[in-house]
Amino acid sequence: MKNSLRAFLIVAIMSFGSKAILAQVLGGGEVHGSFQADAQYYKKDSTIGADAIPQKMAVNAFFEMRYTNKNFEAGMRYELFMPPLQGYDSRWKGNGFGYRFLRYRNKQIDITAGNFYEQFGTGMILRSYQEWNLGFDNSLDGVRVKYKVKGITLTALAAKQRYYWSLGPGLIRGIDGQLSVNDLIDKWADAKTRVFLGYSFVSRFQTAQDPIFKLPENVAAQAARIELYRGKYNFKMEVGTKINDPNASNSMIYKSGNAVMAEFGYSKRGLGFSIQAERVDNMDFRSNRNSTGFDLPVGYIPAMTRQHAYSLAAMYPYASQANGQMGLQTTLIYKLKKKTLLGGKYGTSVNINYSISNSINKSKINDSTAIGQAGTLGYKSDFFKLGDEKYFSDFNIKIHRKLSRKWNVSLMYMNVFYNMLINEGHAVPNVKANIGIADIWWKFKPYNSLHLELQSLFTKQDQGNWSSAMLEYNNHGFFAAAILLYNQGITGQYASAYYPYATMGYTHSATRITLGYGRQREGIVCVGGVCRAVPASNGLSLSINSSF
Amino acid sequence: MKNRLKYVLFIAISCLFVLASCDKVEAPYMKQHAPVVKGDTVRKLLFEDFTGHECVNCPTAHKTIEDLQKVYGDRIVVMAEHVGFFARPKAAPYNYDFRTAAGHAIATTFGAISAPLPKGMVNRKKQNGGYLLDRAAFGTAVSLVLDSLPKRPDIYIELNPSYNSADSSIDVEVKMTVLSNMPAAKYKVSVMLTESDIIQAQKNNNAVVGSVPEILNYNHKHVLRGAINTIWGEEFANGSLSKGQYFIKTYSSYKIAKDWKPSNLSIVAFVYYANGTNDKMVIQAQNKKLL
Repeated sequence: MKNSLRAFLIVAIMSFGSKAILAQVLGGGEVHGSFQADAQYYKKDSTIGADAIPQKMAVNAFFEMRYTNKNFEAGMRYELFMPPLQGYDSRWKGNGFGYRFLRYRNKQIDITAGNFYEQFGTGMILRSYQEWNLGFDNSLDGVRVKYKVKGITLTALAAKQRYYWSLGPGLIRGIDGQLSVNDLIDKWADAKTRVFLGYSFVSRFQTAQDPIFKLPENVAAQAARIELYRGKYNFKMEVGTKINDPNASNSMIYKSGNAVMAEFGYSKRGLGFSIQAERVDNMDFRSNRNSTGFDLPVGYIPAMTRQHAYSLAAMYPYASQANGQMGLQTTLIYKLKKKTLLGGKYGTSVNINYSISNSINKSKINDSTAIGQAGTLGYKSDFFKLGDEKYFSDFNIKIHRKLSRKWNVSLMYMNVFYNMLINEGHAVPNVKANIGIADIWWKFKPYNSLHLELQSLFTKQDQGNWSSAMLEYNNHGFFAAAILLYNQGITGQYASAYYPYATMGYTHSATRITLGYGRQREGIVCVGGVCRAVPASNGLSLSINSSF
Repeated sequence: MKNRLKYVLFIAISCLFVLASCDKVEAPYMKQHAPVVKGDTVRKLLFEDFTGHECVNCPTAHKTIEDLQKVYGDRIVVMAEHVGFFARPKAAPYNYDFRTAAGHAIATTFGAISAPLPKGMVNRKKQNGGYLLDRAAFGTAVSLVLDSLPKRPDIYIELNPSYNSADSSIDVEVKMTVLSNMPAAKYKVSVMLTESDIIQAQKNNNAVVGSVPEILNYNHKHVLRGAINTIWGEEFANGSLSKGQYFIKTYSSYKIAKDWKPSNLSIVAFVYYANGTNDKMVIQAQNKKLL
C-alpha cells in the first residue's frame, strides 16, 4: 500500500508544473498532456460479495504528454496499475511507459514510429484504440505512413499490438485508401452530393506449430466502404471479408468471414431519423489466433445498440458478437414546437430508439459434420435468414421538457431483453426487464442546481428488481451527491441489499477531483459493445483528472 | 507528375504486399499423424487443465486435450484442477465439490484462480510472458515440448504404487534416473493423485462435445484429488546432476476418501526446477494407474 500511495503521489505531482520546465528544456514548441488517477480503498462486505484486497488500496493512473514543434511531435504515456482496480485484468499490474511515439508530418506525408492508434473505415478490419474505463488498449507498435494527394489519403502500417506490458505474437500489416470523389474530380467539386470511397486490406502473420490443425500463418481481411451525403440525407456502408482464420474464438473452423454494415440517416431542424443494419459472420480478427476475450482484437465490430448513461438502463448492456450477429437499430428524434399544447412554452423533445440483435442462420455443411466442428468449414449460413436465437433487444423512449427557466424534466421508459449466455457466458434464464426513469433538474440560482434522479428496474430474472434514487447539488464547480441503490432480490436466490453511496467533487478549469464512499454493485461496463465485468465493492474512492 | 509517380509506386508496393499476405488452406484441414511414439523412456509433459463444472467452454478444452492425446498418447500427463468461480459447488446437480487445497494453491500461484476458464498450462513454463494458455494455444505449446525437444527425457521417472484396501491407503515408490547431465539447481519431485470416470454434471455450450447447455452425466477425467507429498513436493537434489545418478523416494499411508474408486485412481509424478531461471518448470512427468 505504501508503494502504491507513493507512486500515486509522484504521478500526481508530475502532472502539475511540468509544462514550464519542459518548454524551457526543449526550446520552444508546445507541451500538452493529461493526467488521471483513480484510487480505491477496499473493505470486505460479505452482504454484497465485496472483497478486500491484500494491498488494501488499488490505483490506476496515467500521465500523458505530447510535445509539438513545427512538423515534429513526440509523446508518451506513463501508466501505473498498483495493483489494478478490481475488475481490471490482473495482467495490467505494474507500471511503466505503455505508449511512446515520434511523429513527423507535413501537408503530404505523415510518419509515425512507435505506438499509434489507427482505424480503417468503421474499424471492421482494423481499429486500435484505448478505453481507460474498460482497461483496454490495443495500440499498435511499429511504423505508420500516411500520404495525401489531392482527394486521396493512403495509409500503410506494419506493427505488433500492445498486449498488457508486452506485445502480441502476430505481425499486422495494413493499407488503406480513402478517396474524396468531389475533391478528386474538379467537375464534382461543387456538387450537392458528397461521395467518399474507401478500401482497406489488413494481414496478420503468426507462426504456426500446431500438431493437429494446418494453420494459415498469413490471414488477410479486406473491406470496401462508401459514404454519401446529400442535403438532409446521408448513407454509409461498409462490406468486409476475412480469409480462413481458425482461431480460439471460432472453435478452429476454416470458413471465411464476412460483414456488412449500413446506415441511412435523415436530419432537419427538429427532426432526426436513422436506421442502421449489420450482419456479421465469423469476423473475430485478432493478432493472436489463440486469444479470446479482451485480448488483441484487430477488427472491431460495434454493438448496434444505444449506450445508456443511466445506471439501471445500462445494467444489461449488449456485448457485440463478432462471430455472428444480425442487428438493426433505428432512432427517431423529434422536437415538439414551442408554445403549443404538446410542446409547452419551451418545447419538448422526444427520442425513440429500438435495437435488436439476433444470431445468424447456421446449417450443417454435410450430414457427418456438426455445426461448428473444429477442423472443418464449420457451417453454412443463409445470408438473409435470421438465426433462431435472440441476443438482445432494447426499446426506449425519452421525453425531455423544459418546464420553466428553472425546471427541466426527463422521463424515460425502456424495455430490454438480454440473453444471459451470449452476453455473460453463463446459462439461462434470459432477462426481460422494464425500466422507468425520472430525471429532474432545478436551477434555483445561477450556477446552483439540484438534480434528482429516480430509477426503477423490474424483472423476474437474474437478481430481481432494482431501484435507485440520487440527489445531487451543484454550486459552480462543486458538486455533492447521495445515491441509494436498492436490490429487492429474488427469494431463495438473491438476498435484498442496499447500496448507499456518497460522492463529492470539485472542478476547477481543466482539473476535477472526485471523492466517493460506499457500496457499488457488481455489474457490466460496456463501451461500444466491448464489456468488462466489475465486481461489487465497498470503500473509499478518489479520482483526479487534469489536462493542460 | 512527381506526385503521380509516388502514387503509382505506393499502389505497386501495396499490390505486392496484398498478394503476399494471405495463405489459403485447402481441405483436409487436420494433419495426418505419425504413429504415437511407443515406450516409457520418452519425454513426457505435465498438462494442467484449469477447469470447473460450471465453465461452459471447458468441455471443448477437454476435447482438445483428448485430440492431443490421440497424437501423443501418454506423453501428455493430464491433471485437471477444478478451481475458482466456475468450480464452486452450487445447487444440484452442481453440488459436487471437485476442488482441492492443492488445486487452489497451484491456481493461485499461476494466476488461474481469477482467470476466465478454461486455461491450460504446459510444464509450468512461461509462454509469451505468462504461464496460462488459451485453448487454441494448447497444441502449439505441447508440440514445442514433445516435437521440438529431444524425444529422450533428461530424467526418467518410474512409479511403483500399491493399494492397501484394509485401510484405503496408498504407498508409492518414485525412482528418478538422470539420463542427461543437468545444471546446478534445486530439484523437486511432486507426487499427486488423480481420478478419472467421475460421472457428474458439467455445463457445456458446444453441441459437438455433448448436450447444450449442460451434460448431466459428464465423464470428468484426470481430476486432481490431492497431493501425496505436499502441494509443492519434496526436494531430492540441490546441485548439478550427472547422467546415471538415481534417486528413490517413498511415500506411504496416503488415505483416500470413501467416494474415490481405487480402480479409477492414478499416480501423477513430476520433477521440476525449484529455483534459478527455470524456477517451477517441469522437466519430466509420469502417470501410472493405481490398480
